[in-house]
Amino acid sequence: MKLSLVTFVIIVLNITIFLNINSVKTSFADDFENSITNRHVTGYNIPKTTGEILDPTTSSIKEIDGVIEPNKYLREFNYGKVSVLENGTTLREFTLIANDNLIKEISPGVYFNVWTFNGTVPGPTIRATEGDIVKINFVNNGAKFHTFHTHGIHKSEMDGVFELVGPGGKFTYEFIAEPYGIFPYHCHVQPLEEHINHGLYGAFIIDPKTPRETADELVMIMNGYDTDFDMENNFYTVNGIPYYYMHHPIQIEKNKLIRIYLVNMLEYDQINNFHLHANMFNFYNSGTKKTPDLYTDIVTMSQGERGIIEFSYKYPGAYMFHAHKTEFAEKGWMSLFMVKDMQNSSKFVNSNN
Amino acid sequence: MNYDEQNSLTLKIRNIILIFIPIIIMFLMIISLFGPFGQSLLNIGIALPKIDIEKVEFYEDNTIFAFVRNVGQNTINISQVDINDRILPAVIEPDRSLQRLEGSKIIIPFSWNRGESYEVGVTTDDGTRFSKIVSAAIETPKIGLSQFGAYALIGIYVGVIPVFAGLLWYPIMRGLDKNKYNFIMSITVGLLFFLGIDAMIESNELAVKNFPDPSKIQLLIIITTLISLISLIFISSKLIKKKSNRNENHDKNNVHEVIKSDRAVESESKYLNPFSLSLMISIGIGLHNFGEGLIIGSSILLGELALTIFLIIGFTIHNTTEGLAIVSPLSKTKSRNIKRLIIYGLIAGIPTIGGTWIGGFSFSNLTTILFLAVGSGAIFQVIYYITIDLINKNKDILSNGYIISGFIIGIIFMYATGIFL
Repeated sequence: MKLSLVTFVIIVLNITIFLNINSVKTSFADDFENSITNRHVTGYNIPKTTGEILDPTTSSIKEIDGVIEPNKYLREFNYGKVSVLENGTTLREFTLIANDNLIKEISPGVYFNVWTFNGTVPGPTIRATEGDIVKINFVNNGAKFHTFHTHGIHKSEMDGVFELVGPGGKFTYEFIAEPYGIFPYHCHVQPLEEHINHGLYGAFIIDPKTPRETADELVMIMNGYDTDFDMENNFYTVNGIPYYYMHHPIQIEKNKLIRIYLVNMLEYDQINNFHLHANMFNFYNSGTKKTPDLYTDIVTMSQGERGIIEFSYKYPGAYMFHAHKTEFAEKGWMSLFMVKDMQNSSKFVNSNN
Repeated sequence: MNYDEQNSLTLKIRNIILIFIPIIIMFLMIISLFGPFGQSLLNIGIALPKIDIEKVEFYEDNTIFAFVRNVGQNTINISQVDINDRILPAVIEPDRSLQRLEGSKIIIPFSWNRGESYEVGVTTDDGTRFSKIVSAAIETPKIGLSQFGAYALIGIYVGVIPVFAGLLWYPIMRGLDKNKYNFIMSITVGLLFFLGIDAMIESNELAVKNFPDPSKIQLLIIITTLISLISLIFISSKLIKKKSNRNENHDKNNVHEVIKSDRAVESESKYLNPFSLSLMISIGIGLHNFGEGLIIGSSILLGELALTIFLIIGFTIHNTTEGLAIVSPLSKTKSRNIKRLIIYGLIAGIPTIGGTWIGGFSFSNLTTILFLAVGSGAIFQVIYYITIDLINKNKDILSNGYIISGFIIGIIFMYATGIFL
């Protein structure tokens, strides 16, 4: 009841805002954003009801119970506790705490026992520059064995495969960040499927020494959840919560370079992919080169594969991006960009005054 | 009050107390099991959520209704709904929270296509998904005259006409000698035996397909069949006793029509006259046909078009033999009472129509299962009486070639016609 009341208030508010804005001329994008929560991608509206509405494509989850705040995660990069060693090398220290007893809301109304790095799925994005020394203080607060295993070049004992960390245990991983690129990190305790399905993974970015062109940088992890343990995913997401960016579209600027660090951590399914609407992008496989491997609108990845996507939008408006495996899209891996024309909207603010 | 009376009174009181002591002990045990002691004692497993999707309905205004019920131990919240495993917006009435055994209606806006298969799924708050497959979507019939008539026609086609067609064997039946009579009667036993077993298997199939925990329903099938069998035997023997008493006192109206074999004369009155046997067969078959009607109606409702057609063809062939079963006991009577025969035919055939109506308009797996079980009990009751009739009229039925071959042929014949199902 409370939920439907809140929805009702939001709808009424939206309508009033919509009518108000409509009296002054606005761009299509603004209108669309205001009405987008009332719009249905299936073409059918929800019937009037005395009961409750079940709609993960438009309703959000309570942030306090949510497995992550996808909008915060999207642009949050952790550079660690930085110090400079005597030889001039940068040392970056990170603390990652593994846990396996949290129960979090992963989709509206669905609660799942998630296993986490620092309490979220995906875990925090860690970021360093090529040549830095990365030190990971790993603590296992869970009831099972866990490790921190990342891709990239490092010594065997820093690989997080043979030194299993038991409940209450600690381990310090230390290695030089090389080469530059985008890498997944995850727990490497068997059964791997179980540890990955429950959420023990994150993204690790190593920047080249000469930085890339300035851009609006986003991190996206494609994942899934098998919540009834039949070895098939019940939900597919980008950044942890199905459909989240459908009702919270990612705000980007027209003509601005967008850079996505994209990682596929999807368990159980052979492949996953990323498709951008009404645009083309440059794709850098694993982000290990500065010349693009592809100029395309769709890229397909197996588990653990990743890359960098770069594009900018020519026209303002709402644009979808989603898995072009439509099954995944219709089980949550469906999102929106809201491209804004900043110059026009500043004009709009002026004219309003 | 003398000593004896007092003594008997204390004895009475003592007995009453004695009756209640075990009950009180049991009561206290149950209470303690619900208390903290019991909770820790019984905390030995996880009560898994269980949702039964009882019914799926399709409507032309692009909506699908799903009726769900919580058949698990604990309260469940329905969180998401999907069609063919694709998550969709939906509405749930009255609300998403389902107490134990509470039901809800889910309305899903969806542009479904006639004849296509759909799987409707619901996901509970712990992420468990339950689903039900409808093989071919079809507009859910609204209760209207035309639909009513159409179902009645199917019922007549499947139940009434074939039974009456079978009754037309009556003239051949009359004037059969003893061996042929034994042969035909044991064919009837074979036919009925097949029908009784078939109904139990059919209801078992429904139980396994539609209930998350079929073992309880399977037990219910056996219990219902047994109760149906025993209570019908009880009622029939009461009726027979009454009748035989009346026959002894009054002019032996019915019995004089019967040419009794020498050995059977004295035992005949204790058991059945041919007409009672025929009537009993008609009632048993009527109950059975009611179950068949339910199955046909429900298969129409569930959109199993191919199955419906096979069921109609199969039951039609089956039911012709039911007519034979009804007239077979009458072979030794000289009665030309056509009216009575028609009544028997109607008793056996008409319930099919009722079954089709109920099955087609408001289908419930449990009622269908129960009626099938009652029907098979009724059929076993008829088998019991025919067997007794045969035992009374023959020295040793197991060494009688006509009887044994008749029984086997009856079963095989039904199996052969049943291949259509």
